Amino acid sequence: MVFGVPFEELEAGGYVLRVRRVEEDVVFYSRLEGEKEVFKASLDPLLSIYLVPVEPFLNPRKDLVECVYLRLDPPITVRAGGSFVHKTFVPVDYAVVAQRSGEDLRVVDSFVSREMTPKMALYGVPTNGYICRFFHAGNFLEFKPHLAPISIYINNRTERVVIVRNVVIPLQELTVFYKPGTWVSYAAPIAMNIESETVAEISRVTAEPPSADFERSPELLRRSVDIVELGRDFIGLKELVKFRMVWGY
Amino acid sequence: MVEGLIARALGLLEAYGIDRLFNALFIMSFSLIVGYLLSRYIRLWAIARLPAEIAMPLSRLVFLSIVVLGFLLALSHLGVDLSVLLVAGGVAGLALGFAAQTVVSNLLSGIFLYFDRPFKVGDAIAIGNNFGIVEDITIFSTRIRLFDGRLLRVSNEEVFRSNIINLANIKARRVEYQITLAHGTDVTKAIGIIKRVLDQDPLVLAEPAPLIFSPQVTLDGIVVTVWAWTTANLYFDVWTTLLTKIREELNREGIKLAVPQRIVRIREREEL
Repeated sequence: MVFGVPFEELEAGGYVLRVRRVEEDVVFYSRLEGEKEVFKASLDPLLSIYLVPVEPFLNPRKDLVECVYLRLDPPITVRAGGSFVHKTFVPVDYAVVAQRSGEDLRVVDSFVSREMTPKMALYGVPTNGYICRFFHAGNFLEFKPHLAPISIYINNRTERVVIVRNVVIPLQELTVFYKPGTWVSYAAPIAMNIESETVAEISRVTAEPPSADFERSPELLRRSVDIVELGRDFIGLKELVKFRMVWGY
Repeated sequence: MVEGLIARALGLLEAYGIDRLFNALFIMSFSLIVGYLLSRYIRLWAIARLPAEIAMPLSRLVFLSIVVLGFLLALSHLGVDLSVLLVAGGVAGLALGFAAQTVVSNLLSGIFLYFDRPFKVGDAIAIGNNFGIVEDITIFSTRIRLFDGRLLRVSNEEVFRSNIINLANIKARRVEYQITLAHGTDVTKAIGIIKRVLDQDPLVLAEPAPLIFSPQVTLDGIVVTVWAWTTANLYFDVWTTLLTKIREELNREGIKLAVPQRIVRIREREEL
């Protein structure tokens, strides 16, 4: 089985995930790369263990990434005052979570598909920028479980033609859903309002799932990012404060 | 005896004039009140903004300065010649100044550092060749826990005069290496291999993009410079491991690193 369903053995992202009961009250979870065990954890036997796609903020290291930096290839040209819906993909991390009925989730393991290297990038300047998960969002014709489709509503509010090369989506504006029992994931659409030649405002259009059979990826995986510096217009990693790309798009 | 004292007091009053005495008393009282109020105000203001070890002495200094000034003014009103006192005070001040030069310098540097705020407790900083975490900032000195575990005390005067690099308030840092390849190496191939290692390392940032270039050729070999960015908190991890990865990959691909070499020519006797 796949996302959101308890498993005993599962292949995901180029790894084999295995849950095995050694004794009556000892259960081991392990992640194998071929024959090599790359991760191991012992678990409470009463826990259900399943795989979910989550926002790409757990890799390459936890509590490091603040945004997703999408490099659009090819760039998008938007006419003055015009709008454009760009459909692309964002990477998702895989999280193996353990849950006992009625209790909170616990992340046992997180990893990235071996098809990609979880690269990071700096958006902004070294003294005051954001560390982002970098992704080269080209044209993908083939469905891949580690990529979630996302729609970016680009609104050019300027009186000039603009070329959008990069989109930076902050942590709290990105929401991933998945369809239990399948490999399908989905990212909630994002609005990108272009305000000037270099500044664009990024916000989530809706946090609703595309249909009733989708489930929200676990919220506990999100980092609580507080506002970095109040009073400076370009900083806004707090709910209700709009995130603005001020170092160009 | 009492009569004698009264007569003397009356004599003094007559000599100085009762109005001058009252003026002197008024000046003293006024200076005490102003000194008290001002020092209280300064203490309240400073406690909210400065460390207690600066705030309290500052308010006391203000109080004492105003009271001493009032006392001197009162004395001058009573007809006391202050020039001798000032000269003596000046000489004593000069001697004290020389003796306490370092202390005062450290004190003032501590105050200036506080306002300048080049770092705070907990920041990772570099002062000269010393790298460490700031553990404490007092009015006279700064204590830094060096990365090798030793505790370094640096006088504030020295801190104030030094170039300080604050490593705490940055998001990304650049790792730099210089690799010398053996003469005759295919540099383009070597650069391609290094680029591949950097691209495959998740801790090396994609933006700013790494830069690999060959700036010079030396007697030993062809120098290749590698600039790669990483997050500030992973800098040490990356700096300590990336070069090994690059070297192993170059070795696997048959690229040889330079070994120091000198060409020695031995002349025959006839050539000399």
